[in-house]
Amino acid sequence: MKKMLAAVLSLVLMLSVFSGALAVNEDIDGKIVIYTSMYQFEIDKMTEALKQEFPNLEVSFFYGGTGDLQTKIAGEMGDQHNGVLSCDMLMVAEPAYSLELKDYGYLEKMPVDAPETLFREGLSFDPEGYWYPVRTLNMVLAYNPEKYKAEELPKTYQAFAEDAGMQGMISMSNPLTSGTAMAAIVALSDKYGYEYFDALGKNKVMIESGSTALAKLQTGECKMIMILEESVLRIRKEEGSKISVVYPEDGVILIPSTVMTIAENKSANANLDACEAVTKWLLSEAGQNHILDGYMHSVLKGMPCPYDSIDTDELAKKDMGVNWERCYHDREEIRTKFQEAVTLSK
Amino acid sequence: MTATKRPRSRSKKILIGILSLVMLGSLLLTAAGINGIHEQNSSVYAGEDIWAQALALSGEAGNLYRLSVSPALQRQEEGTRTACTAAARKMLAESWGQPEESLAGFSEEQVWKMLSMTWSYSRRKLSSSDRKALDALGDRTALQDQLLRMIAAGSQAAAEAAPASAEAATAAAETQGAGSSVLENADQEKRTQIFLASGQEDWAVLNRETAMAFSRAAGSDGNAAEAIREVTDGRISAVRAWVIQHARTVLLAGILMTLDTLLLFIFLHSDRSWKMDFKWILILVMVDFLLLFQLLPLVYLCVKAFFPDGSFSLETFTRLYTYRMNWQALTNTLIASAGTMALGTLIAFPLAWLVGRSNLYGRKFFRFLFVMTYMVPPYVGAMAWLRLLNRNVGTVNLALRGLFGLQITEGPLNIYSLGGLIWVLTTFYFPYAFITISRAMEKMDPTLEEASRASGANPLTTVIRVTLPMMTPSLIAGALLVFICAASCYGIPSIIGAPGNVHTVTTRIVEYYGMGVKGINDATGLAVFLIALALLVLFISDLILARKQYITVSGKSTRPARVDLRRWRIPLTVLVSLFCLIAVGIPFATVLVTSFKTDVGKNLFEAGNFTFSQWQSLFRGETLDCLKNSLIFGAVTATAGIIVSCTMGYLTQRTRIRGRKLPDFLITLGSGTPSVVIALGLIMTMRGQFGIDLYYTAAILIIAYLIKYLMMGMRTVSSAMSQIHVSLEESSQISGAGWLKTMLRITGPLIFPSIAAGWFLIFIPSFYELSMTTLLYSPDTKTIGFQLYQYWTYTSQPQACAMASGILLMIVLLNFILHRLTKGEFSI
Repeated sequence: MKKMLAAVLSLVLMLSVFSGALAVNEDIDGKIVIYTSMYQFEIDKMTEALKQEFPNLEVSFFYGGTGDLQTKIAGEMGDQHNGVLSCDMLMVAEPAYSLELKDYGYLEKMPVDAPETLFREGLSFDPEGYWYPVRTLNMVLAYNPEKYKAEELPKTYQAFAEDAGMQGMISMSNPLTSGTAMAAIVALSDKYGYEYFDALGKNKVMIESGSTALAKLQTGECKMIMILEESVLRIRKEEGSKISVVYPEDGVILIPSTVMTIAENKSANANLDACEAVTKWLLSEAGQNHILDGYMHSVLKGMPCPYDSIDTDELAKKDMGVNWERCYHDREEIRTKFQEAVTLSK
Repeated sequence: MTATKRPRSRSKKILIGILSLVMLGSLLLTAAGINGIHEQNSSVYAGEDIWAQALALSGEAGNLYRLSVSPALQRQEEGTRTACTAAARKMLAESWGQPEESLAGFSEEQVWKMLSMTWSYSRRKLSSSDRKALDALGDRTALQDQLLRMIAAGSQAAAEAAPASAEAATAAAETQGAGSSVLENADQEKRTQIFLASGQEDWAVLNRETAMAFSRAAGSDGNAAEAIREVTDGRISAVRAWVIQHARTVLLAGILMTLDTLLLFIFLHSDRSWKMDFKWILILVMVDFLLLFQLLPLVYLCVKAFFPDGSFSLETFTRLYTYRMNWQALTNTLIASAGTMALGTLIAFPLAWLVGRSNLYGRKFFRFLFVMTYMVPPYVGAMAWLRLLNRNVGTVNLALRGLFGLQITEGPLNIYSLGGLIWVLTTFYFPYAFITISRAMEKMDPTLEEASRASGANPLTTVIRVTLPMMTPSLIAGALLVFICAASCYGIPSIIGAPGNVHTVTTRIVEYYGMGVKGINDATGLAVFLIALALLVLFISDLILARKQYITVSGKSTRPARVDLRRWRIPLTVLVSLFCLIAVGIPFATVLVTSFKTDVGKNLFEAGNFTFSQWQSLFRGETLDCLKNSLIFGAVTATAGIIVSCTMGYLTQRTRIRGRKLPDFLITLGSGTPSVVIALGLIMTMRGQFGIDLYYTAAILIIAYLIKYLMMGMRTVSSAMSQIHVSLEESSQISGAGWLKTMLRITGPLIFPSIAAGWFLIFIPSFYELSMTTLLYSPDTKTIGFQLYQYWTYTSQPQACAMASGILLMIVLLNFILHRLTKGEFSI
């Protein structure tokens, strides 16, 4: 009888704990819209997770390349920079853009406990709390070992652009529409000067999206591509692909992507409670596990690396670093230089 | 004589009187709109609805004071009450950043109202945990009393420069539980906020939406404070607020009404009967719609290009059109469009003749195949040709290298070139010329060809000497249609051209559009080139249409005799089959095969590579939502379009009413305008700047599709109506049937297949549209065409291929069902 009573009590206790856990975010309700440059498959996973975490909150993601989103936001801001945005939060690629939005007064402070001890060493965040890194993207080189041998291929970004054997068989994303590609060319032009763009142009790099470039690796049309690590890791795990990552010896390009909340009177749904809760969740272990599930690196100390990657802290040691102030202020000049050298038909 | 003249003269006077009154009203509306805009422009506020929002917020603040604040203050002793109001005055002055003395003239009621209005937008709502704790306290009256005592105590302590009063702590201690800790930890401002919010069920000081709308309209905290002060002073009336808020709508309505009245006057004057005709109302409604959503955006784009910052400047133009990359894009666009036009027409004419006028084997099947390319998104072809003709490992290139033993690693063919671009554009746009030429051939009187044959000419001579000259206008019309479609295409150049640095104006426009505010200005500047190109094409087309009498059209439908190809029948059938295989069969098969692959680089049946998972992914919620959107948008566009088409068909073919050509011209102009330009114009004008805000809605997509594709339906229905002899309708009316009955029983059934075809011709391109959707979609209005492009570009190419194959199957099935339902009469 005692055993039975103990079992029933344990069951009641477990149920109450379980239901208590479920009910933890039930008071967060309403609707929020998040503009993001995360891939669709990552959005799908995160939408599901947020639905479970915040059962009464309707979260809509609007996907677009960073350039597309910036244009959309610029249009919504209007010429006077006072328009209302159709979103409540942003998760776009580059911190340079966070600096710009903060300057325009479009961001809301979001309190996060002890950010200085929360994030990995070297990761930038806004000390006033206007933006935080939420995921770390890693720009790498990739090749198809079923078509070409690794030893015949470049090991560095420099060789990627300069090796004549690669001419017409390399590809990268468009810095005009992709925030991560923009960050990458900022880092590379910092390291090698604008001559790097000339080399890319001479080597006839094809400018196209990640999915197209991956397909070209698969068919053998390209020998090597510059791409985000997450795209390769995903097809390795989900499709059993043999496409492999090369972590360039002259440095990887780690790109922290930020999370921002739009100022209440400039946001679509003025739902700061929900934005704060979602921000905190994203920066919690649970939220970061979903970042790992999306094959990106976590921004938190002590978290593991994504499937099939290498330790994030090790990568950070080889990080080329991106000058975000330059990325923000010299954006036009860098884009034009790139276009002149690479996109213009000779 | 005088008896008939007098009533006409009287009706003329009455009509002129009414029109004058309407004109006066229209001018007054215009003047009111201009005045309102002037007030808006001279105001410092960000939103034109500032006063409407301020009045709404003030109304809510008044209610809060009357129902909650005032009763609570009444319950307190005089000293507490005075101290609380003094504290509120001080906090308001701090919130506004103004000295306290500047608020001296305001009464207790005004102070509390202004404070609640200010804090409704400037302070964050109480957190959910605070709200929960305060809700747990239950009795709000007691809480209010306690809060006021705490505020008064705090105010007195501050006045005496003493530390936090013990009295306040004692007051907080009266409350038990979590609520007490909220009060204890709260500072003076938070306690006041809780006091104000305690009057609302959701613990917001005032309605949050109204408050945010007010804050946005004010633009800055300083402006908001000024607006609150003005509204509280009673300086703003509701009528004035309404006029200022709706100034742009009023101005637009005024201008349209003025134009309508002028047009109506011109119609009546040139008609001379001075009898009002309902058909003019129909014409004016259509004209208004097209002026608003088509002409206004186009004019705005041109003005914006020449006046980028409000003053005339050619700086944008000079910069854009002297930039080498843009020159390349302009040249590429012209070469690619002209090449596609030439190649497409060269292919379309013989095919149309062979399928329509000869005894070629499998004519119906071939017709279906050619039209099928019209039914799939053009960029699907680009996906296939990329696989087949890429310079390094393209299937065709590998086959050619193997076949001819070529020791090369690149080529011999290269899809990433201008030639490759022209080829893919041709394979997807020649059906436009094919359909146009086929239709004209159906209308052509066969007796002329028969006369040529009877005079001893062989079939080839007849085609060259008789058919071709008679077909010239349609041939050129079809060719120009291909030209403008190719020039305004985005999907194919972005997939085929970009990797080889072959840029076109559309890819540059979309690229510029993705570069922020300055980019939008540049996109606008480049769009002017496409507008000029479209106008040029329209002008040439109009010149050709003026020679329309060149085509002999009999009063009733004809069944031309087919030319016997004799010994050429089999070789020509083989040749056409080969063309079908290359242009249609192989690309579609490539897309279908890729849809079953996991790794596009491996053979379909290589271990582990064959999969149905790409097809399964089509049934994901998001894809189905996109499909639903596309079906709804396509169906609504096609239905609205076919109603307009039928109206226009009737007006142009069955009436001689004045002004009927005006909507016809505008519809043709819209169809000739490149898609990217239409979308850009709508974005820049339909975001509230002209009183209409359609940004982010399904309506903006449907309007864009309608402008672009309406002409397809209109031409089909008009053409069918021109083939129904009017004597049939006259017989019906002589037999006693009214107009409506004649239309429903005689004309309607006769042209029904063309109505169905017209509906389908609008539905299909709207269903998979990409160029406009890329710029106009929102999270809730994503379409299947856009989703397909996204899948191709960012997610997975096999999944994109599965989706493309799914779309193709669905459209073929829909076509088949309609074909059966109309008993074979339906075809496009």
